[in-house]
Amino acid sequence: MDRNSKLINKIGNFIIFMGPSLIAFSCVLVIPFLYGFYLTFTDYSPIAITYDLVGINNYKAVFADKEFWGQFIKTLSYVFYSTLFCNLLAFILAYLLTSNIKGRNFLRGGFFTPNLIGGIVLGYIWKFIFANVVTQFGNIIGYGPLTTSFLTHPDRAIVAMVIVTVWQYAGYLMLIYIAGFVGIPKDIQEASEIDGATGLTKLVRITIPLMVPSFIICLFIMISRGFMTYDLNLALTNGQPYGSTRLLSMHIYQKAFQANEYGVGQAEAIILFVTVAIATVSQVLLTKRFEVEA
Amino acid sequence: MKRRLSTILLVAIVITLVLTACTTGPTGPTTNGGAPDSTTPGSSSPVKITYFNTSAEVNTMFEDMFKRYNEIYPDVVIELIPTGIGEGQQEKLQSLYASGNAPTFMNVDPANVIEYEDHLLEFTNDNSAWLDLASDGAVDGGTFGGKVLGAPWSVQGYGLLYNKRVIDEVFGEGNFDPTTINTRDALQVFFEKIEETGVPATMLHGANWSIGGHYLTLSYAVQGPATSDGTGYIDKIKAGSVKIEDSPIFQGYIDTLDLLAKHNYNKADPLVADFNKDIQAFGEGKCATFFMGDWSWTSMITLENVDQEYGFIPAPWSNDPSAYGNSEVVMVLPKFQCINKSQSTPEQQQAALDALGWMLSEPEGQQFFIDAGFFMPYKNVRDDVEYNSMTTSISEYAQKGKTINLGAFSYISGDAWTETGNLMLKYLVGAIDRDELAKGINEYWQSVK
Amino acid sequence: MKEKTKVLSYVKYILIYFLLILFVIPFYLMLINSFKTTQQFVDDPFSLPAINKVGFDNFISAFEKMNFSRAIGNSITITTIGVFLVILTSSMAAYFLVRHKWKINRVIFAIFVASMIVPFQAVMIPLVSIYGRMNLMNSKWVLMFMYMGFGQGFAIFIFHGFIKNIPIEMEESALIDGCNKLQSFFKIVLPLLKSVIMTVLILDVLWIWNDYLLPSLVLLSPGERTLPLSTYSFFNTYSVDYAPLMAGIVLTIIPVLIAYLFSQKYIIKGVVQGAIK
Repeated sequence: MDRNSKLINKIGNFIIFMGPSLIAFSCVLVIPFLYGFYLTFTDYSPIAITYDLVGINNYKAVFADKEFWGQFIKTLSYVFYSTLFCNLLAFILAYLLTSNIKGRNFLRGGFFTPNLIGGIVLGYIWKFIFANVVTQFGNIIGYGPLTTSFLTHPDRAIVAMVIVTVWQYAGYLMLIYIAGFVGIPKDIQEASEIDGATGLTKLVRITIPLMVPSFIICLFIMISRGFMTYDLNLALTNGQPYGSTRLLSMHIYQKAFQANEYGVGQAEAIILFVTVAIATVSQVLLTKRFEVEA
Repeated sequence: MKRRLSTILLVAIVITLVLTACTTGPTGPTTNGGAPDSTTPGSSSPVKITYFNTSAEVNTMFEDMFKRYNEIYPDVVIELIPTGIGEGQQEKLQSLYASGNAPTFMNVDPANVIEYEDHLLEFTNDNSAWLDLASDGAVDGGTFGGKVLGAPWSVQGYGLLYNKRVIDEVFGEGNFDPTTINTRDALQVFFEKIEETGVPATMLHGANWSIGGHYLTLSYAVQGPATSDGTGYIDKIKAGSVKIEDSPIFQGYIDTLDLLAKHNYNKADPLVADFNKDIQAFGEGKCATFFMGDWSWTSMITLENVDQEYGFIPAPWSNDPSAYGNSEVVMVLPKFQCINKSQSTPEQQQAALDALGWMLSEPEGQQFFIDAGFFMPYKNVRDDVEYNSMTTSISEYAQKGKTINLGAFSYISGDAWTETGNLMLKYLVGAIDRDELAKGINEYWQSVK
Repeated sequence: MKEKTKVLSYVKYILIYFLLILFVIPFYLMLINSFKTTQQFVDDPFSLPAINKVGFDNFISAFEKMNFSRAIGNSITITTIGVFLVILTSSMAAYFLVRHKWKINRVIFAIFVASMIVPFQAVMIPLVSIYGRMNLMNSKWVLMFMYMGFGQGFAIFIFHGFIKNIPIEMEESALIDGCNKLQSFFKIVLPLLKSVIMTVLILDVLWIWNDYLLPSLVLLSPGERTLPLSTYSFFNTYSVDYAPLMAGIVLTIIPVLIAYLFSQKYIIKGVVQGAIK
């Protein structure tokens, strides 16, 4: 009797606390995701009136899609460089802004501002800057390479994407690193100073190992968002020049909606999901190894 | 063990949910908005229909038109679905279809007419009086499998635009005869003469829709004056029985592209493709010619201190003055209007048919297009309209029968011009050579089902 | 020694203000160019706008074409209610997941976390096709519900980390005093979560306010449009009419900027605290 009512109580609480969350989550994400997964085994298309099961043909087509794998490599290098430089800059900014500097709050606020605007708007502003402002600047100082737009050369267009990504996320990551710096217990810092550690030695030996949790979060954010970049890609380069900067998300879009191969596009999206999962999980596991107890 | 059980349980629940979701909505077409949209005859609530527009530059024209239509016919409300950014149009339209909210009627590219063929209402003499009023051949581009599915509403043209003031400064006023440019050599002499005065002779807009969609398409269309000449040629490339590099027309057009590229105002950075910048430079006379079409006028009139007088010359592909394509410019029906039958009620379809009839054949409807500078392919259009200099030049070519039939364009669907256009851009900046270009184009066509 | 630190600190200031200028220069350019015509803008983006030439024309035309007052109303409604729903339901769920270490709860938590790395394209078409068939498109309320679902993963992830560190003793004593689970959550746990709620609030407000793709799929009729949707109704097929567009973007940013300036202190605090976990 008592046991029964306890169980009912438990279930009741589960429904009250988890119910709304689980229902919304399942209806919006889980069901469409599984339905989408099912669609990769069909020749479904939003505009076809009927569709049939086609087995793993779509996945076979993905492996035959040379363009996809080309962009896969390109996306990997974009993710690598943007993760690297963004974290580097954010770390330096956080280091400077936790030191004894005037106007800290003002500066922290200033560096955070790019996060207030969405990717598409950012992309259009920067497109204008690369195409008009930088080239004008290049003409004024008479430096040849700057007089042509960054966005008309395949490699430089990826560089442009990395620059904007770094600009966009550095302020965000900076705040996380600041939290990391602030979170280092005072006594450890003092102890290290008594032991004679200063400047760089202190940073490398004491500070960085204690900030591993911040690194884990920041790397996770950059890697997962990097792989899924779409808005910025669309607004800044739209795949140009000549289709060389179509990162994975954009490639998937074009496959599904412009080439009208919806099933293949959806299969590529699943492969992207698996890739991001592998990349982020291994990153978290790898960085967790460096974690130390304060 | 226990853990695995609960996982399985969860997956099972989710799958059941999915299946219920699937069965509640059969995979077949569903009718749109059962509740508020389907008005019973005689009821006073208005019929609501939606219009999807891919000609984003004239969103306001359609808005004004629909507002006026509602004033005349208060029982019909037309809601405009404007499009987002360039390539976002296709996924937007497909998501509307996927969600069962397909627009009642829409203004789309000819390629879309084929893609959406199964969903579209056929226009017949019974339901569409405008069919009889359309100019000869105008509905061909919207006809697939013998059915008229797309209604044309504007004629546009492209070729080499020239700035009359700049040309007059080179040759003396009135001394230049556009018909003399009918071979590549003549074009080259013309360009060299212009550049003696220090003005760059031409300009290419380095975007795939221009160099691929417009320029490369010439090499298919010029295969012959009939639409089937162009489509037949593409079919042969698809089948692999013809290689594009074996066509003298393709080779000729690439030779001409080399010439254009050599005298390109944007030579220093050919792929910037900023339409505002290009149109402004051309309007200010910073270059003499521009490979573009008469739609540039809508952008041109927003600018200050630009010239107003322009004309077209052909982009010749060989040195034979009598060859098809050397003294012609392109005339094309770039957009068609279609009515959806799969996801709309009969009342909605009728309302869309009526609205379309008003737009295309009633003087008041036509006036909206005329005011926006469009040349409509209908016989009953007022003949006292004064068009801008670009459209006038195109219509002069049309009167002389000197136009290239771009019917094959209708059959170039999906990502054709993005993909082959990207190859053309690569060639333009020297990232690939001509053999690689031809190989890439062949490969693209062979990969299309 | 002293000289050296002084020089070093000058270098530091120069470096940091130089970087700051790089960070805010796009905003400056956007602002000055929103007072020019597109033509002036293309000719010389650096120059200050000529007085009395364009003035607020771009803003007026952007304001009208965007149907600004309507759009901002929609944006505010959707953002406020959407964020409220996400925070309420996810904090409750996270609390339950932390306090009941059942096997199934672990699986549920793992699925929530995994959802953060699902690319939107993988659910986009299935989502519209399911909701479309059930005739649930074109409604603000459905959009808010979708935000509620999409927001769960991240919010639960963050709340979970925080609630873990809240000592259970206080709740236990509350339960003894006769509170039920729900009361003890709202009276004891929720107030302790103030700072982390702030973090989630800010990040979710920024996300929903700026989101383009999802509302563009769900909100079909013009009257329902949000600010980003109306901003993009400016774009035309072949080109971008820069100047009024810039004005439109400035108008979209201003509300966020004002909110940001007022709450800057909390934002920095919030993000910092959210990050520690």
